[in-house]
Amino acid sequence: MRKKIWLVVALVLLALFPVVVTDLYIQRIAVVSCIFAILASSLGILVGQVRLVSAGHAGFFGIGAYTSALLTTKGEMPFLVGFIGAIVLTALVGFLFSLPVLRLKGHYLAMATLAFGIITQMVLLNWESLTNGPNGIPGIPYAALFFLDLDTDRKMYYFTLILLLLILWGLHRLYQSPVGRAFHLIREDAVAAAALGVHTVRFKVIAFTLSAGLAGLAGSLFAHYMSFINFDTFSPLESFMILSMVVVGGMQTLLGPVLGAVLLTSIPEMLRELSDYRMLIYGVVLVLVLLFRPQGILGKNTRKQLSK
Amino acid sequence: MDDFSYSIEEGKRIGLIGPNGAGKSTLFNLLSGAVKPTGGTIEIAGKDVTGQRPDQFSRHGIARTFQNIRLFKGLTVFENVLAGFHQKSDLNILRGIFGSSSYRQSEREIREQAEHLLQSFGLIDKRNELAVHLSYGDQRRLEIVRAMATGPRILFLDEPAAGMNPYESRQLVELIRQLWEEHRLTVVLIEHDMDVVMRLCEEILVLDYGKLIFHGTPDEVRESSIVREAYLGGETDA
Amino acid sequence: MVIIEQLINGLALGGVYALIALGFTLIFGVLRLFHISHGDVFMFSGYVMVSIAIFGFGNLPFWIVLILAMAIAALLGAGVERIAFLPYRKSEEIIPLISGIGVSLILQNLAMLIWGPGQFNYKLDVGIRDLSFAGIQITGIRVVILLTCVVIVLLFNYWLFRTRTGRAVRATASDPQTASMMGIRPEWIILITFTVGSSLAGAATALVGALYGAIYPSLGFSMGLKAFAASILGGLGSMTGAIVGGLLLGILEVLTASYINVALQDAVAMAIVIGVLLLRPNGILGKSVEEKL
Repeated sequence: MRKKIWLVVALVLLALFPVVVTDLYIQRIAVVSCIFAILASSLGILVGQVRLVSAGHAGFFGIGAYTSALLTTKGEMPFLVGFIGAIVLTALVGFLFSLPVLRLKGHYLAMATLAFGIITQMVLLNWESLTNGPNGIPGIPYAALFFLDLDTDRKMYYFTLILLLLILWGLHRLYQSPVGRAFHLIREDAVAAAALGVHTVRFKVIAFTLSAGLAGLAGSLFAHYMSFINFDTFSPLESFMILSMVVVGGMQTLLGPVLGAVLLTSIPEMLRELSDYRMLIYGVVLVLVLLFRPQGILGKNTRKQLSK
Repeated sequence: MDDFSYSIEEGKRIGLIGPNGAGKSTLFNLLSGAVKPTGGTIEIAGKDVTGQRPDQFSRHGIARTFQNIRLFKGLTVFENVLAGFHQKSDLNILRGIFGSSSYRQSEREIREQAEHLLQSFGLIDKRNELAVHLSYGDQRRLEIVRAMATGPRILFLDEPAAGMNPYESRQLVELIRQLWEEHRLTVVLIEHDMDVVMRLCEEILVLDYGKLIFHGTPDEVRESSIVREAYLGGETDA
Repeated sequence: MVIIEQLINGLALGGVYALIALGFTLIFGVLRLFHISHGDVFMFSGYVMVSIAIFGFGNLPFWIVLILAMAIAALLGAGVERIAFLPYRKSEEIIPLISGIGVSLILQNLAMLIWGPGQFNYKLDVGIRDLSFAGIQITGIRVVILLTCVVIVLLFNYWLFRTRTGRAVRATASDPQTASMMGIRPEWIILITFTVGSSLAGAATALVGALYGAIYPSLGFSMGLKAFAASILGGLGSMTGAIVGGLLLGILEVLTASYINVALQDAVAMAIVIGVLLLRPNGILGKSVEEKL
């Protein structure tokens, strides 16, 4: 019962946020935080729930962003088409990529995902006829829902927040379902899981596809909020940043990636003078958190989960 | 394995013994799909299952435990047993997220069955403890409970009595015999503890260097000079 | 004979890759650790080397710069190990991987802050003239690289197989439990492995400095990538494989640049990674490690 009260309080605070805080800069940080919260949660499915290292997640982010941007600029389609198209296409790429790659174990899988991220960025840069090369795609229209143009930070905030909450609810339900349990079994001991009838490859593919789709969703939101995107954002460095959000927040929890995203997006932004040091801070925070609290801020303190 | 060929009769209690490195665990791995054979075939009830995955073997009714206990250490006792019900659960993603009534019904049922199973094995009071916190004997028992949750026809037990004192191993023998009778299982047991093997098994296979060097009743095995040579005495005096 | 020249150039470039890959593979083989920041150690020690050698002491003879670079890299590698990897000796594999990412971020951005984000050009004189015979011309730098690589690999081999510490490292690599039971202390081994592996990267950074005369903060990432490519091409965990992989990568890159398209040179490493992972993850010389069930 107490949990529900906290939930309601939190929701009310979140809902009132842009009314109370009218500074546009802070509102902007809030929107970007929500978008990255979705992105980090998508990676959390892989890294936290199934323990599949994905070092190229920015690739999916980029595919989603570019798909949505292109469908709405060159394709002149409405936002929702771009949005859904981004989700579907990115999920499809994730699905196709995972099939051959999930046979690989541990380090090899990490390398393959790293390669994926690098290649995706190279494609975004070099396929000039499609992506405009290094010039990127400017003039991406606002997100819009049939009747409403999301042209202010506040409207975009509510939109992304609602999406984030819906996604978190869905993931919460998923993690508690047999599918989520299967993820955890694979994470804890894949051999034992298989002996109990868990089709490990199938569930890994499901996790991958879902993760990719959500990353694509985040990408679409990003594109329509920033109104300009180019290949530079979707780099291996970005992939590492997303990974650090998940780890710092607490990779095995539902809200850990969200917290990590909010912290690692907003704090450096707010410490404006230190913006040059942003990446350096990321690195230091990462190492420090792992040193003193490897399960992340929200992670449970069971050493068993972290020792061999 | 070296030219290994055998047919396991349904409903029997079979022991698998042999010196270290004889290939006993390898055989289990082959017969549960954990490892693929480089040659030869495996059939279950007449169906060719060679080269299939371990989860497919599980669906054919095979369940196993492992030599060095593979419980889900970070999960509770209850969650470990629940894991065994994976194949009986509703694996539909959408139904899981939106919670249809058939989904909720299915979840209720498997949870009840898991509770029931824990009850009959005497582990119910420990249901919320982390598996890793259990005593050694309880962990071994939990692994068997979890395997039974899959509703198998054949149970492969890899050294279930390892590290147990005589009292515990007698209890284990009772437990396995009970399971065998109640569920009409076929049981195949790897063991070094000869007491357990002799008490429980009706037929014993002896492996050495991957070869099946002898098989027969416990008495026959006890008399056999071939076995004695290969083995040079068991771990426990029978 | 242009092609022979190119092969030799490829070997020289490959030799450098082989050195970095060898260090990376040593660490992976002994510690089962994917040292994702190996390339950044390479880069950072390069910057320090340049600062000392060029700004500090004017023009030093090359071999001193080489040893200096190796020492700097060894120290840096040891430092990185103490902070970012030693605490996680017993943890899940993913933790040191992410910690390595943190180190990578720190080193790259520290370099950017100290020396600026752009490319820095300099000149390292090797003091040896170009060689030409039988219609083939090899630049002095490449001669030096080839010789240095051979010498270092021989020394490394000697260390690994003939000295007590080297043998202890090999013992730990093949059977850590038995090794520690025989009195070989694992923390010591980890430190040595990192130090030696990083010093190889230091040698490479000096050679690359002589060859290209340019350094920039993200060089570590791209070099690291080539080290991964070379390592998995040769077979992850195999040291001979690292050398073979490095040489092959170098040759393939040079040939691609000359005969296909200069712009695709850097893509060769990526293509190799994909190809190997899809077709033969164990690489040319690697052995697959079976999990004990």
